Amino acid sequence: MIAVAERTERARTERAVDRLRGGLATAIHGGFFRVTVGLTALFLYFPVVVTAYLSLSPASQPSIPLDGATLRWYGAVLTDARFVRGLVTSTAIGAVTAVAGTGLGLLAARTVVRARLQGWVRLGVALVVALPLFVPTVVVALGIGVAAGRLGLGFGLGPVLAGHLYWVLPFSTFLIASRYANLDDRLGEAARDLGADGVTAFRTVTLPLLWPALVASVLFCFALSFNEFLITFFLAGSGVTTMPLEIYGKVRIGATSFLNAASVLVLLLSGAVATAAASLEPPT
Amino acid sequence: MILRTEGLTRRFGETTAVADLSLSIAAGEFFSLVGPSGCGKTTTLRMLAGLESPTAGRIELDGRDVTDRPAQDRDTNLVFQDLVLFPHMTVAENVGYGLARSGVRRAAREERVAEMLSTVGLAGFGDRDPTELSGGQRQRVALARALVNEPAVLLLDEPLSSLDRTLRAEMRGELRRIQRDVGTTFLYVTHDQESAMSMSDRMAVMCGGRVVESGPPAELYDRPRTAFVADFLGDANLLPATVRGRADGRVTVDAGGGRFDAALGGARGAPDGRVTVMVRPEDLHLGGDTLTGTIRDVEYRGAHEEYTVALDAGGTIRVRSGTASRAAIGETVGLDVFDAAVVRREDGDGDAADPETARPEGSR
Amino acid sequence: MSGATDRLRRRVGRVRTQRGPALVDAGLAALPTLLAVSLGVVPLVLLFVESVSPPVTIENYAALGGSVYPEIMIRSLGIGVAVTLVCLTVAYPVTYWLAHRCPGRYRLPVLVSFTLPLWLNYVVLNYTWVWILASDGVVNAVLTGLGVVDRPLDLLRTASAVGVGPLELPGLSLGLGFVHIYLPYVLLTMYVSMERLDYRQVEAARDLGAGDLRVFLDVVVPETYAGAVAGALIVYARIAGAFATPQILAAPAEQMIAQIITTQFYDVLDYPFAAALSVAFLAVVLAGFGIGALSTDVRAALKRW
Repeated sequence: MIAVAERTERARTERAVDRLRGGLATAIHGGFFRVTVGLTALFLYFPVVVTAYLSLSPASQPSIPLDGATLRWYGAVLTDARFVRGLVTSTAIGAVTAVAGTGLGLLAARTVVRARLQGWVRLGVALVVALPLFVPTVVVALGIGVAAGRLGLGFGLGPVLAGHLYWVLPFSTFLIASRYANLDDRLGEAARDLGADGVTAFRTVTLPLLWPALVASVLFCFALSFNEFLITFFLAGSGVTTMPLEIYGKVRIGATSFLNAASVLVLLLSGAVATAAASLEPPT
Repeated sequence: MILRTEGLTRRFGETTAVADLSLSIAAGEFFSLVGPSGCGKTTTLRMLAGLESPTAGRIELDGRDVTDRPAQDRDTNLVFQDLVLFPHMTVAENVGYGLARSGVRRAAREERVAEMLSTVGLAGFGDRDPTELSGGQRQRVALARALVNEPAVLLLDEPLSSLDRTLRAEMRGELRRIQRDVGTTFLYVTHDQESAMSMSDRMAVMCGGRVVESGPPAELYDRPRTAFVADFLGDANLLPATVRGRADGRVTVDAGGGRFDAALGGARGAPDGRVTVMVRPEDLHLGGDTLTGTIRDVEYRGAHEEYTVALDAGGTIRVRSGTASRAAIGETVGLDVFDAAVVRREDGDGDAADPETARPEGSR
Repeated sequence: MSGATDRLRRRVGRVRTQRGPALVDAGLAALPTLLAVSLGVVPLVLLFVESVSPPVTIENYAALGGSVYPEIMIRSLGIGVAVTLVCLTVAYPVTYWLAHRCPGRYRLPVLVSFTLPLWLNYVVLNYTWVWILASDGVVNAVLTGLGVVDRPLDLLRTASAVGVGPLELPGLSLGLGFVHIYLPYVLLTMYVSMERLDYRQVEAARDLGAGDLRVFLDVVVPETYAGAVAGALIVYARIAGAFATPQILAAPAEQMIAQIITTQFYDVLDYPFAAALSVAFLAVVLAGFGIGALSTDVRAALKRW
C-alpha cells in the first residue's frame, strides 16, 4: 500500500521534472533561434541604418556623432550632372535589360522545361545559360573586354547592354522556369483538345498563368542590371557611365557625405523594386 | 458507326501499350472501355483524342479518316481524369473556351454556355472561380466545357475516380441523364466496372492492350466467354468441370462435387470433356444439396454476408447469403446452383483465348 | 477523295504532329542560347587564346609559377572557403527556424527582408563598412565614447594574422564585408533545401529519443548537405573572384586575384598575362567545382535549380 503510494509520488515528481526540463529545452530552443535570427537581421541592416544616419551630416566628412542634420547632400546628388547621367543611363539600360532579359529568359525556360528536344540538348542549354553563376565575374568581364579590345568590337553602350543581358539571363530563366515547371502540362493539352493551336494555347493559357513570374523577372532583372558593376567596369569605355561606376568613382576620391546620400537613394530605389517583385512571386 | 478504329497500335520503344485494337461505336451510344490499370485504355483514349499518334492503324470518325489529324482539328473532346480546368478563367470562360476557338461570336457563345451550364445543373455558376468549387461541381464544369462543342464523340477519362462513393453514385445518374438529353455519343474509360455497367449501352473489356470481350453489360456479366472477364466484372467462382450431357444451348457438368446445368457462351462450338465453369457467389443459395461443404470464414458486408466455403470435394468457393438465410463458421451447408456459365481460360482448356473485335451483334 | 491526296494529307499531318514541334522548339531555343554562348563561351575561348599569344607560347603560364601569383590565388580561394563556411554556419539555424519554426504567414516577408540586401548595390554596401570600422567611424566612436578603450582600434583594412602559409583568414573589415554581401545568397539557397526537409523526420527522431545534437547530425545535416554544398560551390567562387570588396576593404597585404587581374589589364596593359591569370584561376575554380559535384546528391541539388 505504502509502496504504491511512494511509486505514484515518485512518478508524479518525475513527470513534473520532465515537463520542466521540456519547457526549459523549448525555451532554450526558442531563445537560441530568436537570438540568432535577431542578430542576423541586425547584422544585415545595421550598415544601411548607419549610412542613412550619416547621410544627414552637414559636413562633407561626417563626424560621429553628427552635429546637426540636413538633407543638402541629397540635393547635391540630384544636381550632380555626372551622377544624374549615370542614374539615367543605368535606368535606361536596366529597363531594356529587364524586358529583353525576361523575353530571352522565357524562351530559355521553355526550352529547359518543356521543349520536345533531346534530354542532352536541354541540359546543355541549361548549363550554358547558367554559366554566369559559376564562372567568376572577373573572368567573364575580362574575357568580354579582351574580345571587345582585340576583335575591335569596341566598348560602350552596346557591349554593356550585351553584358547585362548575359548576366541576368540565368536569373530570369530560373524565376520563370520554376513557375513553368509547376504548370500542369495537360492544360496545354486541354486547350488543344478544345481547338487551340500551339500559339493560341500559349497566348490564352500558358502566358496568363506565367504572368506573375514574368513580372517578377522584369523587376528582378532591373535591379540586377541597375546594380551591376564589374562587367560594366570592363565594357563601358570612356563614353558611358552608369550609377555603380559613378559610385565607385566617388569612393575612390572619398566624397563621403555625398556618397552616403547617393547610397541611401540607390538603396531605397532598389529596395522598392525588390519588394515589389517579391510580393508578386514567392520564391519556390 | 460514328467511331471506328482498325488495328490501332501504340508502341513505346519495347513496350506495346495498345495492340491491334479494333472498335466500333454507334452514334448516340454510351460506350465504356474497362480494364485493369495498365491495360492500355487511357492510351487508346488519348489516341482517339489526337493527343498521341498511333504507331499503326486507322481511326475513322463519322466516315472520315482522322488518324493524322491533331487534337485541335478533331471533332472529339476530352474530359480529363484530373479535369484540368483553366485556373485563371471563370467557369463561363472555361466552358466557352472551345466555342471561342471555333470562332463563335460572344453573344451566341454566352447563350450556349448558359444553356449547357443549366443542362449540367450549374445554372448561374458562370462567374465563379473554378478553384473555389467542390469536386462534384468542378466535374460538371469539365463536362460542360467538353460537351458544349457538340463533338461527334465525347471522350471521358475516369472522371469519377476522385469522387467519394455517394457522389460517384449521384454523378453516374447525372452522366446518364445528360447523355440521353443531349444525345452525344459517350466513350467512357474506367477501371471501375460497376460504374461502367450501370451507365453503358455497350462495353468492351481490355487486357494487355487488346479487347478481350465486348457487348451489352448484362451479356458480359451473365454470360462471359472468358474467365478473365468473368472475374473482372464482379466476383466469380471458377471451377474445373467435366461435361456430362448437352441440350439446347446448355450443358450438364460435374463440378465441385455436384452436378448442375450451365449455359454455353455465344455461338462457340460446344466444348467436350474438361472445361471451366463460372458460378457467381450470388447464384449459390444455402439450403440446397447440389454441392456440400463447410463454412470457413464469414465476412459481414452489411447488405449480405460473404462466406468462404470449403467444398467437401475439394477447393474453396465464395457464397453470398440472402437476407433470410445466415450461417456461422464451422457449419456444414448444402448449396443450390441457380446459374452457371462455361468460360474459356487463357491456359489450355479447349480453345485458347483470342482477342475479339468489338462489334454489336449483327450490325454493319 | 483520291488515294494520293489522302497520302499527302497523312504525311503533312504526321510532320505537323511529330517532327514539327521539335523544329519549332529548336528555333525558340536558339536566341537565348546564342546569347549565352557568344558571351559566355566565346570570350572564354578567346581568353585562352589570348593567354597563349603571341603566337602560341606558354611563357605567360610559366611566369605564373614560382612568383607571388599562385600564393595570391590560393589565398583568394582560402578566403572564399572561409567566408562561405561562416555564412553556412549562420544560415543553418536561421533557415531552419524560418522553414520549420516561423509562423506561416511571416515566412515570406522575413525571407524577403533577409534577401533584400541581395538586390542592393554591393559597392555601396562595402563602402558603408568603411564608415563603420574607420578609426573615426561608428564602432570606434561608441567604444571611445563609452570609455571601453582609450584609443581607437585599428579595425579597417588590417590583415588578420591568423593563417597557415598562403592560406589566411580574411581581416575583419574584409571578412565582414564579404559575409554581409554573400550571406543573403547562402540564406536563399539554404532555405530552398531546408524547406524540402520533411519536419516529420525530426519528429520521428525525437520520438525515438534523439536529443538536439543527434537530430541535427542524423536528420538535418544528411538531408540538407547536398543543397548546402551546391550553394557553397557557387558562392565560394564568386567570393574568391571578387573585385570591389577587396578593393575597398582589404589590407594592402591582402590583395585578391581579381584585383591583380584588373591591374594587369588596365594599368600594365599586359593582356596575355591577365588572360593567363584568369584562365588559371578559372581552372582552379572549376576543379573545385568538379570535386564538389562528384557526389551525386550535390548534382541532384544543382539540377533542381
